[in-house]
Amino acid sequence: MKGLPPEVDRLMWAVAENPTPTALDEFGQRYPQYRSEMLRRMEMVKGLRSEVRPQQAGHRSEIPKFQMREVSPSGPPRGVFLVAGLSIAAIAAASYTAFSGMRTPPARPKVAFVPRVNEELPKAPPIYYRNPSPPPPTPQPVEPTAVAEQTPQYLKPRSFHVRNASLMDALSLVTANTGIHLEAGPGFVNQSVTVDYDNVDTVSILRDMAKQFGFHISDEGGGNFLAIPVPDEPNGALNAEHVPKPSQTPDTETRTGTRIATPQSSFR
Amino acid sequence: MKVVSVAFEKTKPSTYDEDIVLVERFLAGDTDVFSQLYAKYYEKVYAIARGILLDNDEAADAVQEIFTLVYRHLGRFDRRSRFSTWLFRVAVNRSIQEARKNRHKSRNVELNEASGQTAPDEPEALDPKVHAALEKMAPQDRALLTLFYWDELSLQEIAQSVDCNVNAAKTRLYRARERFRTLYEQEEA
Repeated sequence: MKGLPPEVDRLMWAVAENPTPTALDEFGQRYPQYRSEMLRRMEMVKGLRSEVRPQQAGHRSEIPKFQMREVSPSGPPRGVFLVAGLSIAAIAAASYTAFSGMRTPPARPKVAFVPRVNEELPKAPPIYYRNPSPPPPTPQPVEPTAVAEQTPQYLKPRSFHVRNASLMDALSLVTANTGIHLEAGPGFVNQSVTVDYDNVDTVSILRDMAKQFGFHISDEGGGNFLAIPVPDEPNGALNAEHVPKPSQTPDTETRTGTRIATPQSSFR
Repeated sequence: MKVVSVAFEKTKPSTYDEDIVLVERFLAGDTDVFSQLYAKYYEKVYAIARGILLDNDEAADAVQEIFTLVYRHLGRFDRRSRFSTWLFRVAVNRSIQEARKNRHKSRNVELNEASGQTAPDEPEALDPKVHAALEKMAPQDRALLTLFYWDELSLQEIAQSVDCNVNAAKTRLYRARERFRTLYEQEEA
């Protein structure tokens, strides 16, 4: 019977399971419209009890002797689960492979990269001091670029490599664009030189070259230098066979503390 | 004084459990005591199996299998519940498994015997509509109805036998009853 309120339904089952005359009378008085349904429920319960009770279900009276049986496994064999699992895994792998092969990578949105260099950062709110006297100014850190700008070009470390060039050309090259005005004195022997300097400032390079190739460097001030050949060194600048000894290898430190790389020089 | 002590003894809860003693003896090596457990619970286990399987012969076979399982695995009985409850749970589970296994087989038999030559071995007192409705139900629902209308177990014991709590057992029982009613009414129509 459809459309029965659940509480009435439960009540009907309860009365049908314990059909005392009092309960039946009360139910009939309260729900006369469900009287026929109540009778049907009682019939159902009676039938169910007859079905499940062994005394009324054709049960044999004698108890058979206990016989040990070969009990079959309760579920399907494990091999079935294994095969099923492997099949599912294979199907899943194949589906994934097929799907990922078909799928094209999503197009990336064309957004130009704009560096946010000049973007204004949010400013902090102004600070209002309660004390009438302003706080002492904090020392502003000196920017390293400012220090670098104050240093003359010829004192900045640099690399300089020349191979098989004349001494005059090498001196011109080493002083070019450094702010040094080099003036060579008379009697300069224009020999072929090879020099290699790394991370050495120009003045140190000039002094080292002077030491090696037999001339004297004189600082005249204001970036003016004078190169004067040394006449009383017969085996120095004029000796084409000169090979720098290990002790002559400049291994001094620059003003900035940078170690001079081993220069290789030779007369040709 | 003697009367008082006797009265006191009567009020004391009985902690003696004959089943546990038999189980302990069986586990200690006295396998002959199993026949006592078998004789004591054969009828009840048969009732459960028959209520779920709805067939006398299948139920008789199932009972032998159930007691075989109990014989082999009695060591797994953890004594947290009564032995009878544990036994009924084994009976319900095994009968449900058998019912699922036999469902396909019984359908084939029905098709072969559709010529009307069936010889019902059920007593005529049984309501064929009830039987038909029960046959259409799931074995789990049949197990609940069997345990409930058998009228020998409390709701707590029914819940333990079907491995759930009392509230779940009530809910499942109500639904099983409603399904039975629907099927019964279909049989009437």
